[in-house]
Amino acid sequence: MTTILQPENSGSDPEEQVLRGSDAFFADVFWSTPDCVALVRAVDGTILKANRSLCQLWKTTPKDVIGKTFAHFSSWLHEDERLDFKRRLESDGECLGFEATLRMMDGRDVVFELSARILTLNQESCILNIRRDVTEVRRIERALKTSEVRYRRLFESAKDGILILDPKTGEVVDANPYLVDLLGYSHEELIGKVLWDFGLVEDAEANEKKFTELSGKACARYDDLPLKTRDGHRIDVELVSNVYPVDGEDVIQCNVRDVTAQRTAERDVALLNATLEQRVLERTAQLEAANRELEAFSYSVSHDLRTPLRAIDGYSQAVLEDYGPQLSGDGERYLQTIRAGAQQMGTLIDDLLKFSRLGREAINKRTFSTANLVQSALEGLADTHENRHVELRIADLPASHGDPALLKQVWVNLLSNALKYTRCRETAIIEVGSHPENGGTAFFVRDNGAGFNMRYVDKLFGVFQRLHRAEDYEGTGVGLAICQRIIHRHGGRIRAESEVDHGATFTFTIQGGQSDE
Amino acid sequence: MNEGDQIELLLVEDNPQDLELAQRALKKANLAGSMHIARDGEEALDFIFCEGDHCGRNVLSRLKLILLDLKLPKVDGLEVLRRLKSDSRTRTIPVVVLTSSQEQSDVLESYGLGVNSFIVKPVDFEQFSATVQELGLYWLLRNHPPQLEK
Repeated sequence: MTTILQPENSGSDPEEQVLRGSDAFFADVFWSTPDCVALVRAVDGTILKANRSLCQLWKTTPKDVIGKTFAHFSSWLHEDERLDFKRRLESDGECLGFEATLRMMDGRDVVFELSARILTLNQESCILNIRRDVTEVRRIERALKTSEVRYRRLFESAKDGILILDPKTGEVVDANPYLVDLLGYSHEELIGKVLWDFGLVEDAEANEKKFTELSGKACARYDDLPLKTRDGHRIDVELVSNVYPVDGEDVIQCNVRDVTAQRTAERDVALLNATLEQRVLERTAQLEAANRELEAFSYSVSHDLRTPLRAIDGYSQAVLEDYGPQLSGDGERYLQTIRAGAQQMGTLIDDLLKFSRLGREAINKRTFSTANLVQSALEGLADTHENRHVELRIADLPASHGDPALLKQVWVNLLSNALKYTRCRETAIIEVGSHPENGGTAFFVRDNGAGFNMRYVDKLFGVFQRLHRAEDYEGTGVGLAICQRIIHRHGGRIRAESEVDHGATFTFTIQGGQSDE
Repeated sequence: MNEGDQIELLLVEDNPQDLELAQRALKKANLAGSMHIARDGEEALDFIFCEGDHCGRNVLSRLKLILLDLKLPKVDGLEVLRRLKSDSRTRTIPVVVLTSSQEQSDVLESYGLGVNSFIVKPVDFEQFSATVQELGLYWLLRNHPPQLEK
């Protein structure tokens, strides 16, 4: 081993001798240090000595290194760095911790932390050159920095509030700009504050408890946490917290979402629903009261209006029976007219009550055979046309869906009208049929009777509306109004087409057809 | 025996015209002989249960028919019906409701209380007479009521 590492002016103090160690010791340190170390001659850069790490870096042996220069094994990537390093070394005699990238002969770029010092060995100026490979360290640092920037961006630009708390003290460690905006406190005002101590939370005690809970659980969630902003207005937030360790210390991260608008909307909806329900209740009560009144009214009509009519009719009859012989022909006719009037009014009252009941009675829908219903309606009307020539043309009819009792009333009314208004015909022709209409079925009754003027079609379905004189065609004018009400209650429509003296066609639809069960 | 014990027909009717007309029809058919008339529900109950003016009458003496109007002063017809049909002594007396009302609720309630027949008074007096006479004939002469222990 040579003594080249031994500075010339080494002292002779024994203590110093111990501290400095022996040549063998230095040679061993030189050889085995993880940094790459070389000793070069200052004048021409010839490598005088190189250690193991340097040989490994260059993938060579000390024997191949000695006598060559650094330029033989690597080159500076940036010339200005080389010049800077050289200038510092020459002016200061040393340059420590200089970072530079060098390209190896195999093309690898390696970042080094370079240190060099000029020293004199055996009367010759030499440079001790130490280089430490920091490529990996720098890469990790860069990656960390990138990561930090990336997550910092997330934190800074999140559209949710993010709050970092110290689980031991409840102090705010960090708050993102969104949260700062949301709460109205500045970043500086928030940092270091204990969460429940500065009026942010309305019930500090309860929230201190909550915080204890937060720090105890790895994850916690509050759907509704009222907070007070710096300017005093209340906001509702949803808070999700996570506890996780950083560098052996726990940190609480809270994500704070402003749900004020959502909660306000929800409260509005709830309030609207409540008032709507109240309004429906009120309206229903009003309707029920109106219905009860109507029922009481019709009950009274049914009872009290008929009684005097019976008296008029009864006493007229009594007079006819008891005093008939004393009456003149006119006297008897007058009394008969009084009786006919009373009986007509009785019929009117009955029809009117039937009509008013139709609006209130429940509808019991089912699917039934229309053909059978029409047949049974016609059977009930048989004696009204006993001695007449009536030609009935009844087509195949699809099934109906509705209240059979009510719809039978419709058929009876339409068919009896057809029979009544064809009385003037030698041969009455009455057609019953159906055709598809608006996805449902339309039924019709057509006759070749007296018909009516379409100018008055609007009056046709009104209560007590008649288009013919009572002495020509009897009736109360309620039948078609009843038909219309029944059809409307089934969600259908009824209409009439006619021409004076050329018959009439009544058509009705009922909603849902036959498959609505 | 009390005079009231002879009564076979109780006619409960508040309207004087209806009453007179019903009486006229019954008389014509010779059915008005043993008839008592009550002008409201209270009078009807007093007669049936032998109270007030009729305390001397025996509840068990056999009435063959009660013709009952529904709309009556003081106690209405349905209440009269309820009381007499819920008392074992009077439950078997035939009751015919004879009323102007065509209300389905009255029909249902009357039958629910055990009425024997429900007749709507026709406006036409000839029909009315015929109905009252048919009723009288059927219940007073043709019908065979149960015999009660006296």
